[in-house]
This record gives sequence, structure tokens and C-alpha cells, in this order.
Amino acid sequence: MNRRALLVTAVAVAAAAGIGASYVLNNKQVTQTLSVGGPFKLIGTDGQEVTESALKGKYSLFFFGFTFCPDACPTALNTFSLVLGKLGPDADKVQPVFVSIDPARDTPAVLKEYLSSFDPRIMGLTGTPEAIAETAKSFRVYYAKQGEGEFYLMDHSTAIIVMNPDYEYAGVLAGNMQPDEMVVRLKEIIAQGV
Amino acid sequence: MTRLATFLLACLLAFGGLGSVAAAHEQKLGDLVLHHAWSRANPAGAKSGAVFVTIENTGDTPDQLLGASSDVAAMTEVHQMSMENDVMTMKPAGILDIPAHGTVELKPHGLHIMLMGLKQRFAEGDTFAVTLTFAKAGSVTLQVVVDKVDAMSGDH
Repeated sequence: MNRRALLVTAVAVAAAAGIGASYVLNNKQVTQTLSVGGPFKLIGTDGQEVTESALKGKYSLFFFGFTFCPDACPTALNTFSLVLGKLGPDADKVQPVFVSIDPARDTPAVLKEYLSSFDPRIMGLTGTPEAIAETAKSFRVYYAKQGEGEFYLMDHSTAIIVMNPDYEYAGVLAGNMQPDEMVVRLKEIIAQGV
Repeated sequence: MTRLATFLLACLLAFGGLGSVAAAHEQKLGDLVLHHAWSRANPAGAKSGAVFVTIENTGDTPDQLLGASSDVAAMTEVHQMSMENDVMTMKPAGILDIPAHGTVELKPHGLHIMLMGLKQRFAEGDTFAVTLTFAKAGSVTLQVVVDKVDAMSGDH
């Protein structure tokens, strides 16, 4: 265990605790102090520039992952697809967003093909390594390259961060939450109008 | 009588149909029993996949899983996935001990056979081969059954 790994772990724990605390308190002052989420300039699956302004007016659900991921990411994307179906008319108020934390391999074209297996309403975003790093940091999402060569993997946070229609932090959901539970939580968040 | 016969036939077809895709299957290799090797259907263009299987050692001596190989991927390795807080970590598991009269489960969110650089896309109901090599028992080629994209246990 080196000092860097310790530091990284400590930061991840602090970030998770911060998100958790703000969620429990559900207090705007606290969430503003923590400022989860922020402006971004990323690239969509057709190569177009996408900023946070595209998300205003909807509850956006951010999940950070990568297409080389065999387990957590397809599961989360499948959950998004099922949730959109189960939300009924409320699905129009929700925008799931999949942000790649592996921009070296996840080009817009790769992302587009991968997402074609899921609900077409899921937005896929990638970008320059710097823009991705900045976006992940503002969302307090941890990721790190694991391994070398062609088949490296990525460690990453699996939390789903919810932003409200004003693009302010509204809560966090567990990445492995079952679709039915997520539908209930989202309907609560929408009803509260946070 | 005719209706009963029709009903029975329908049952037979229904269960027969299910069984061909998802029924648990097992393979033996010396003292080892490999229970129901399965994988998941994967998204378009997916470059990785995972295979799950339960390895039971019915013998009096421990064994070790040395490695895995498959023609469906450029690289096949036994990996361990773990969650710490909300961070998912995945790394090679190295040599896996299979204790005497013990069972090692490769399952979602834990140990799995990681397929990297997939050469084909799997759809539900497909099968493919993965070879496991053990220190004592030798090698066995598993028939891996592909389940749904969100399957968690491989049985229904």
C-alpha cells in the first residue's frame, strides 16, 4: 500500500460520505457547499459538442463507466432502459447520461454502437481526457486505470448522481439499485421537486 | 383425455424449450464438478464479457485453477471484482485454490473468467467453449450457456 493509493482511497471515501450526507440532509445549502456536478463541455455520440445546457428542464441521471466493462456498466444501462419503460409519462422528465471515463477507447462511434443495445433515450458522452477528468471531479466520481496494454480496465465509482431540471444536485442512487426501486426513488424526487 | 394429452404435450414443450437454454448443467473432471457455466448476452460492439461457474471439489486433496483460455476472446483471465464504498475494482485473481471438499463460486460482482478482446457477440441461448486448466485434475472445456444481459445467477 503506497501513500498515493491511501490518499486516493481517502478522497473517494470523503467524496462518497459527502454525497451521502447531503442526500440525507436534503438541504440546499449543504448541497451547494458540496457543489456536486458542474458545467461540462463533452462530445456526444455523433461527435457533437454537448454541455450541461442540454440537460436543463429534465432530471438527469449521471452514470460514469466504460464500454470495456463486463458487469457494472451493462447492468446499469440495462437498468436505465427498464426504468424509462416503467416510468410511463414521467420518463419524459428524466434523462439518463452515460459518461465514459475511458475516452482513449470510447470514441463517439464506439459509444454509439454500444448504446444501440439499450434505450435510445440514454445520452452517451465522451471527450478529451482533460474534459472527462474535470467532469468526473465536479461530480466527485473516482476512476483510475487498472492494468497495462490493450486490455487495461478501469476502476470507477458506480453511484448514479441525480441533477434536477435547474441542473442542481438532487440526490444519489446506488448503481446496483433494482429497476423497480429506482422508479420509486425517481418518482419521489420528481414529486418533491427538489 | 385429448385435452389432458394436449396439456401434457404443451408442458413438455414449454419445459423442454426452457431447458435447452437455461437449465443448469454440470461437467465432471476427476474429483471436480463444474456446475453450470454461464455468461450474459452483451451489448453491440462489447469488447469484454464474463463467464461464471461453480467449481466443486469432491476429493480429499486440494486443487488449483491455474488459468483459462477461449477462442472467443484475445485474452482470457480469472479476475476478481470487488466493491469498496461505491468504487468497482477489477483485477487478475492469480492462481485460485480449490480446497478439498470445498466449493469456489465464480459469480457476478465477484470472481469471474474475464474475456477481453471479444471476437463475437453473444445472444441469449448461444453457447461457446472456455477451457479451464487445473493443477491436478488437468483441463476441461466448459460449454458456456449465454443468458440474458441482466441475469444474476444463471438459473431462472
